[in-house]
Amino acid sequence: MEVNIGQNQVLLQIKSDDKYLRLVRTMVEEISSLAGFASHDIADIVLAVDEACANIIKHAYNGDSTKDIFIKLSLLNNGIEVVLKDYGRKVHPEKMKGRELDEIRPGGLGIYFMKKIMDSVQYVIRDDADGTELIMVKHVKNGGSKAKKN
Amino acid sequence: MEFERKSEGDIELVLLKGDMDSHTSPKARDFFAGVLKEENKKLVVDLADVKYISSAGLATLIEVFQKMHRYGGFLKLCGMNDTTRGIFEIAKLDSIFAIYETRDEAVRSFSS
Repeated sequence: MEVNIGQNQVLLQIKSDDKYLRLVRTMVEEISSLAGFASHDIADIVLAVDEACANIIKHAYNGDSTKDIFIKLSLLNNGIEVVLKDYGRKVHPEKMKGRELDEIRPGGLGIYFMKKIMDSVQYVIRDDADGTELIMVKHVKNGGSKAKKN
Repeated sequence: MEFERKSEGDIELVLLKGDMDSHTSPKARDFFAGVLKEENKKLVVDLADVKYISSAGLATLIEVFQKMHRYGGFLKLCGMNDTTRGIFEIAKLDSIFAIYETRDEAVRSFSS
C-alpha cells in the first residue's frame, strides 16, 4: 500500500489482532463524522469496516495476530472510501459472497453487512501482488449531518 | 467485556457490559456455555451496557438462542441502544429474537 497520504486521507496500520478493532472503530467513527454522515450511517460504516477487518484476521491470516493490515480512509466530495490491504491468503471474491438470511445460524454475516451497508464493495486481487485489497465506498445521502471537511 | 449474573425467581438474568466484537465474543461464548450448562428455561440478557455488537457478537447470541431452543428454554433480550438495535435490524434478527425495551418488561413477559 502506498505510504503517502493526501490532505483528506488517514492511514492506519495495525497488526492482525482483533484487540485493535476497537481502535479501528473509533477512527472510522471520527472520519465518517467528518465526511458528514448522519449518526445511524456512521454506526453502519463502523460495522462494515469492523467486519472487513475481522474477516481479514480470520480468513486471510487464519487468526495469526502478527501480520499487517493497512486501512486507508479517504474523504470524498460526498462520502467516504475505505481501502483495506492485507498480505495474507488470497480469497477469491466468488468465495466471499456471504450468506442469505433465510436461515438462523451463527457466522457468515460479515460480508452481508458490508454489502448491505456500503454503496460498493470491491475485492482487488492481482496475480503480480501479494494479498488482497478491499475497496468500499459509501456516499452521504440526503439528510446527512451537514458536517463539512476543511 | 464484563458479565453479571442474577436470578429473579426462576428467571436467570445476564447483564453484559462492553463491546461484543470478535475480540470479546469468545469470552462471552465461554460465559454463556457456563450459564446454559444448567439448562435454565428462562433467560433474560440485558444489553443496556453493550455499546456495540458485530456479527461475532450476534453469532454468540444466536448460539445461545439455538441451544436454549433445543432444550426447551426461552431467551429474551432487552435494553438495546439504537446502534445495537439497528444492527439486529440489518441482520433481520429483530423478528427472530424476543426483544424488549426494558429488563422489567422482559421479565414480566415470562408471566404473561
